[in-house]
Amino acid sequence: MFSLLKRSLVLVALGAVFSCGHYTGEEVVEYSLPNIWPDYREVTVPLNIAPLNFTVEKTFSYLEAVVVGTDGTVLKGSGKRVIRFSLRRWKQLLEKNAGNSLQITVRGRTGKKWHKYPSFTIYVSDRPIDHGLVYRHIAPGYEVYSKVDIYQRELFSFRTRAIYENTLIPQTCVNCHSFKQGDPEYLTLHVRGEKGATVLQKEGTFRYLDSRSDSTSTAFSYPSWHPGGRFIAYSLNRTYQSFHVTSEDRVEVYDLVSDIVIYDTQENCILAGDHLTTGAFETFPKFSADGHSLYFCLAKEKNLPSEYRDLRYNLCRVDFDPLTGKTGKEIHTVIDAVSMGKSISQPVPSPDGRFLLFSLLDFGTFPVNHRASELALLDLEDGTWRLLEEWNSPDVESYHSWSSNSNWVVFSSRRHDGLLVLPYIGYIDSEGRVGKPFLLPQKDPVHFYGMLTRSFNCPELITAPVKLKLRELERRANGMDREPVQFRRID
Amino acid sequence: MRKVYSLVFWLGVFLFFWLLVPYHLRFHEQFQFFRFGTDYFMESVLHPEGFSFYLGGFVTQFFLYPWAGALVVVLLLVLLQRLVARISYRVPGRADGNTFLYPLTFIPSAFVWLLLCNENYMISAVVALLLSLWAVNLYQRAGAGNLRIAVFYILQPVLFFASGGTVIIFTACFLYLEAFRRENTGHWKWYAVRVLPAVVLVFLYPVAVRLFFQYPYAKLLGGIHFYRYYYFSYPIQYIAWILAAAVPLSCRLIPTPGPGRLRRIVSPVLCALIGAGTVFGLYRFTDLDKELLFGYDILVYEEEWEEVLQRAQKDPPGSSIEMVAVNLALWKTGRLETEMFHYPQQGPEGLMMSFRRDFVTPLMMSDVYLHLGMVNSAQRNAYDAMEAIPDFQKSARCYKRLAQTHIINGHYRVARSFLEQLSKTLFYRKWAQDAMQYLGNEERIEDDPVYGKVRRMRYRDEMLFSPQGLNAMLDVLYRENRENKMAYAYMLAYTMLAKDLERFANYITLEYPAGSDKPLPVPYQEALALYWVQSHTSLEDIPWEITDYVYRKLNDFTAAYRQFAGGRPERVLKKDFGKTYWYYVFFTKT
Repeated sequence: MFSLLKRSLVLVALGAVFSCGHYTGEEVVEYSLPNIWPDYREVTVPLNIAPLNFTVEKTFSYLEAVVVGTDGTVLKGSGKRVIRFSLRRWKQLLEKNAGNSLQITVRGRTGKKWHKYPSFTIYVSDRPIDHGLVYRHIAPGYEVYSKVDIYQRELFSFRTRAIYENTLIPQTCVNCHSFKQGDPEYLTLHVRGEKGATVLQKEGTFRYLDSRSDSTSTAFSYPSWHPGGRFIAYSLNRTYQSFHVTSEDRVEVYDLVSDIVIYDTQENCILAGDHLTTGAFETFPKFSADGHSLYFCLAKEKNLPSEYRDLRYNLCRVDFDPLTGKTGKEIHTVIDAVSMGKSISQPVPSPDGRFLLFSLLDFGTFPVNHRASELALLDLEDGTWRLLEEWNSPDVESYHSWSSNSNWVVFSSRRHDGLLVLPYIGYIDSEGRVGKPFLLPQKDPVHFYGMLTRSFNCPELITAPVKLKLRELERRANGMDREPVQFRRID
Repeated sequence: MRKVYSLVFWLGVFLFFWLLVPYHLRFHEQFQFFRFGTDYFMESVLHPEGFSFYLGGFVTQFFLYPWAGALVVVLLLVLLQRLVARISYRVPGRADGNTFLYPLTFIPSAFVWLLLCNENYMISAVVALLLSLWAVNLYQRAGAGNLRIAVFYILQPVLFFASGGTVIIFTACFLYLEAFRRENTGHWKWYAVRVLPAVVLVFLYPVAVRLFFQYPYAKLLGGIHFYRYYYFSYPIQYIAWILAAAVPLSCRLIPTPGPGRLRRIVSPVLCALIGAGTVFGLYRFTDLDKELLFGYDILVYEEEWEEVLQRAQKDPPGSSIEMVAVNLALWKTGRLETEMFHYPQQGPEGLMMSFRRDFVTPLMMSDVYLHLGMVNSAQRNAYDAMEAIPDFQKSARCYKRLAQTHIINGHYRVARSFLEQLSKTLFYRKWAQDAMQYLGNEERIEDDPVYGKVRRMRYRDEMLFSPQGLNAMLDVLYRENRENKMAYAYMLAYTMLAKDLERFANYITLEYPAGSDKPLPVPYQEALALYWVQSHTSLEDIPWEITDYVYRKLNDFTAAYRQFAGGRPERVLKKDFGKTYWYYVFFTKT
């Protein structure tokens, strides 16, 4: 009954809009849905997302769209190249229609004719997404990287601000930004280069750590904050790249050494256990939501690069003691991917502890370079897992990050042009059902993505703005003022 | 007389850049990517120094044609001289009769000419300098009193954002121009309140900009886009700033000589001195070795093979990368197998240079790889060369190569994105629009002499590129397509240059099996003869056809070598045997 009422309201509203005489000239009714870009048809969006401005992939001199909420609220957007919506009105529209849907009707003008397309739906979830997105902007290149910056983007608006640009400290690279479950008060990232070190910013204190020691194989690499905020698990990777000679994939990234250690931020000490610093390859550590387990990927040692096609990782887990920072000695295999001829990479548990999202590829450790890389979801309650067909594409899906409420995931995909990695946002409910994902909205997506030459690398959702102490970083880096880290072996 | 001086000067600039260092101009052109359209304009100008960067990029695109580039440089330097002259003539209190100092106004232009001999000194630095002087000129014309001061304070921040640290020139001129104004003389309080804050502001602008953009303070003041290696200091460029500000001042300070002979000769003497200084400077600043290297690079890119070889004959290559160009030209003209050792070979690096993280050598290697059919390596070298451009610019040449390699690999979506950007340029638009016709058109690609050929020659089976195993990679490439004769020739050349005769003898049988009638090129015979005598007492049973000429030559070489046993025979042997493989083996260090 309510549904019928809602539909009637929408129809009345649409009728009211289109009968007001705004559209002059002949109207041509199209019978297929408009090809819009970005493709926002039938997507599920959070109630606090920025306007989904879009264009139509057909040449029109003017574009208009009418958005009608289930409650009858109407919003118009228009533009010559891109249909844009008012930020304030879009916000109101979404808030009023949270848990419902929007009907969008697109018209395009050529000469004196208006082409009217059938309307499509956008579903509005009543579950909000986090404040923003932090990502690294980097060219999708090979060995040489020039401009490498980390930015933060508000998701409820189009505002983007730099967190770190490598023009500040020339000839540096920056990578592996990480937050404690999206909390920017707990931040770690690595500045690479002659002046480089690991930045650790925790509850207002800034540290510039020299993580290299005689006892460790390399400096810190992939991080994971413990939910308690005291410990960080880091992998220590000696990473190399080789290049494919045929057309399918371009780059193969692999580790010749790969261990996992625990860094105690309180004691400024690396805690290394024998079972995670073996000759095998342990990598991509991630703490479980309750902080009592550490997930990671584990592969048998291979002769690399010659055996690169045989390099496959299982998803494993060890117990973790949040009081001492010690890891359990028994390694549990959570998913035996090797026996399936597959490899698992980048496992990320949801903050509510219900699921674990990971990349599944044919071999190797670095999904962003594997066309076959797909996202898969492990149900931590019953131990079953499935490929997320609704989110996967024929091209690469790789890095992913959960929102703090476990309802949204931002993930990287090369599906747009096969070269640039762009961020897509997907909805997931408590049962693991997912909605159609959508590309990160931009004020002018044609301009923004058309001019884009760099990928969105490592998109991470954050619950509040990041405030990196930039002047402190600049001073410490230029002065090569790095704090040494202690090392302790634990058994 | 003035017109004659000017004409000689400007003609000198034009001829210098057009005829003596044209490839320096091409070097500039290929490491920028100016595009038309509001998107690129807005992206550029909403950035510190962005406007001068944008205008610099606009004029640099014409460097594709050295005559046009030379003309652009002349225009820039003429503008510089004219602005300095105009400012000089409007300095308050300047004696009317001292136009004899006119030659001094050429000094900043002459110095910038010298700076432009450095291929890393950017055109946007010259544009920034011009903008700054233009601002001085604008301020000078702004009328009297407070209006003039107001114009200065409006222009100052705009100029800082548009052209960076050259605002110092503007401010320096402002300081002395205001000091010379009659109404200010003796009113130091007025001066301190209205003029001196300008100095403080110059140092505050970078602070303000750093709130929005992440650059070191010193770079915001010293220039982000003025020198290609922006993170290095290039202090000599600031002499141009000093000269630009100081010449108008000197025109005011130098007293007018009395009438008579002295006054008549000052101008010619100054001209002669400036001319001599410029010539001396050019002699010191011009790097013709680099010009030669840039020349090889462009000639290879444009496939001017005969010209590459003519250059190499005239002036033997001195570096590995130049030898890469020569060897490629030898292959493309069908002379690699026969004339390889007519040139000063420098080991395998002179054939296939290992990857370096710079923006010049990978570009040439990209050409080599593309001709060989190693498409992904061609792509990677082009991409990494572009990423290695120190000032973060993109390159139209690299975009073109990336589009080509993606078309060959069938990655049409990616190719389209590169072609769309190229379509926004003035000089690559037509090429890009033509290339668009290939996207998805398999038949057209197959029929194309470049795309089709490379597609047929490229790798079929997957493997990883091995920089240590280039020989083996060429071997696989050749075995996967026996029509890829270049891979075979390069494989043999590689083993010869590596002095790996065992492998050479192994590979040679693939095309020249023992007992075959197919005539062996002389260098191959020399290599095989040397290989054979290393394990046999004579050439009698050698399974390959060695000509009498090579027999005799080997005997002569052996005899001559023995004659100088224990000595240093290379100089003597070079005359008769310098073009043999044996000479390379015994006397070239690799």
